[in-house]
Amino acid sequence: MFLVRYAYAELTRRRARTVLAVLALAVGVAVVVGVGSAARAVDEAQREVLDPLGTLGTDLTLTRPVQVGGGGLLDLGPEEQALLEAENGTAAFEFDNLGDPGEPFERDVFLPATQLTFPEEEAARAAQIDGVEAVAAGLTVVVLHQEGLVPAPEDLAEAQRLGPAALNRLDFTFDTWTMAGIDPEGGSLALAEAGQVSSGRFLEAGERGAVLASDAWAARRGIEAGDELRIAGREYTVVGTVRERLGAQAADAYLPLAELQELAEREGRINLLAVRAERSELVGDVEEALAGLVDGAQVGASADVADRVSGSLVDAADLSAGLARVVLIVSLIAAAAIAVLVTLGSVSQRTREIGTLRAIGWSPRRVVGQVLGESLVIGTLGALVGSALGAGAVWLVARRGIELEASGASAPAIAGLESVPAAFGIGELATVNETISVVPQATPELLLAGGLLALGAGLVAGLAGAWRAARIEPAEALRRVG
Amino acid sequence: MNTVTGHVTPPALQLGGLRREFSDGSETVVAVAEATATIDAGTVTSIIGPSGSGKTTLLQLLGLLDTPTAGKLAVLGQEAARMSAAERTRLRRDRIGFVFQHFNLVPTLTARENVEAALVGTGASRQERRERSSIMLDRVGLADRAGHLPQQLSGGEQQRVAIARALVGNPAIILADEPTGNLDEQTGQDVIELLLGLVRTSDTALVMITHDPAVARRADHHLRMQAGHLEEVLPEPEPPAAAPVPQPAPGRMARIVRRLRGGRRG
Repeated sequence: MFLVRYAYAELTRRRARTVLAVLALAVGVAVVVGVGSAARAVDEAQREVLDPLGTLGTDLTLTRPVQVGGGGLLDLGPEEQALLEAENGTAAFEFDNLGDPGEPFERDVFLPATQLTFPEEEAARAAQIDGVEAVAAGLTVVVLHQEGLVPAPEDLAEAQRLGPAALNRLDFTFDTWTMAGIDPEGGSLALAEAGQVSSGRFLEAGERGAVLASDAWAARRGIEAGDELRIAGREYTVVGTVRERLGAQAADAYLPLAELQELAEREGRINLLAVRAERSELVGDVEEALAGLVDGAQVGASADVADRVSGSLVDAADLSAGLARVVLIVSLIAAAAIAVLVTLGSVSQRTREIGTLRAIGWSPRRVVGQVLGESLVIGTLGALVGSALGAGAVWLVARRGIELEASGASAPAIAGLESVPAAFGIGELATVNETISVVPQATPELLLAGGLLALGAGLVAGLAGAWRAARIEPAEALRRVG
Repeated sequence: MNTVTGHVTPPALQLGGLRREFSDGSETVVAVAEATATIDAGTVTSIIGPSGSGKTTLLQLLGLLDTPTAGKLAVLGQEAARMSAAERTRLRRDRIGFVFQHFNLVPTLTARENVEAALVGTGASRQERRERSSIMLDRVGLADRAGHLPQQLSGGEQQRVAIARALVGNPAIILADEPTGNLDEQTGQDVIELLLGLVRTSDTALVMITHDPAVARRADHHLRMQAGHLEEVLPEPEPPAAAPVPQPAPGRMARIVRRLRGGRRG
């Protein structure tokens, strides 16, 4: 084919022009592949982070919160206080039975904090609701560890009158942590699951004397798997530690539900019910049915939890969604524009040549085909070189690795705890951070898309050049000298 | 008009009141005014005239590269005005050859490819195109330069490639626009000898624009363009001191080719 030889001669003997056009398209393709891969990788990383939050859209939680004002527990309304007292009395503030004032003491008190309990049978009732796939019951409590000298009643009364901050004046120390009773077989619906284990092992159903520690709490307390813990006078073995789930509800320590119920003297009581709907469109009905199950119940959707996730990962994902599109479009337009300009420049430079070919009997269609063919070859070369450049760049970035961080709002296993004053250190909730390696990959789809876009840009450039070539009048072209 | 047994051979070119105006909206320039002439097959016609007199415009009209504003033009008996653009392109490809002052070779194609370009679309196979191009290059003395790019050739060689390109399709008409205008005197003389020799051996009509009286004198007919007007004139007399112009003779072509092969000058 003469036209092929002619195109080959043009492209190889006008090398600088060809290289410029190919490079312009190649850079465009490389940007498409690179940015596309990065955006995809960030999306996947975000999905990886958010997936453990539950099957978003189908998970619901039922709790029975107590509205707590700015004054803390002491500000509770009479009805709410009565409910709390009925459950746990005011044990944390009663020192009468510990001994005489000034005598040393040590005890663990289980506070219900801000969630009221409800009967465990409600879990079975919830499971009967149409559209419910699974339920998992949980009990979360705050463990208040007190150790020191029994305060005199008048000192205690004074401290209570002055407010929570004055409790620090009393001659004993305290420590708090959150503890959750979970169904070890509750899977992702439970507050912790086997997949979160970072050391040791997970709890087994029916197991006694075993406790799990969260990584953060274990680090704070210097606890490791295999250590012994004394809780409310009983000995426990830390059988393992678990990672916090980003944005999900979490506690410092986990026990099987029945054991915590017994330990905290809340037999048959739970304060958290996780429910999974069969399908997202059933969530509304299930939510309504759940709300009517328990007086004062509050039903929340797991999807809300995802909103609490923030950090560079989410920023990057949000950025990648919009920016990637803009970068892709701009780079493609720039690449196509350069290719068009190079092609138009080439046609302009070849005006006399085109006029001569027309004079010796080349039809306009043949000339147009020649220009178009050359541009398509440039487009193909741009696609190949660009794909290689893009894949190489992606490989280099993947090899070096990008790390983005996702932060979850501190996991309030106990809803409303944020507003509890720091009297017992309860207000200090750890933020869960998760670092994710973003590994971009130049997928065949991206390479194909980049290649097609380069060909498209080459076609546009070719059409522009061909349009210009077709408009060249041979008589006018031949008047050109040089 | 020449008569061939059984049928009439039409003139190669027949012009009747051919006119070409250019207008930029406010001013109209008459490049060719009422040009009338008949150019028979197998004849050599020179067109002389000062720069800007409309010679090149006339040649482009004759080569169907431009459309007259008025008047009639028949190419090989076909009315140009009745031809479609495609028919004009086909006629140029199959029956007309062009030789330009600046050679107008495609710079990225070799000498053979430049010649072959004139056969593209004629239906000739690739092998046939290559063979005919090689033969034509051999006839102009450039067989050993077939694979060279134009920039690797001297001006004379480039013009010989252009002549090969013009003749490879066995055209009925060759239109040459100052074919020696960009060459030194000796090379120009060699090139014109070659062109005339090739044309004289066929029934091709050659119309050439030239500023060189010596070249013009080699023609059978002499036309002069003056401010767009075309008129037939007698050839300028030879200057007294000028050497007698040799006439084409058997074996002369071979000598020219040998000389051209021996010394390549720009």
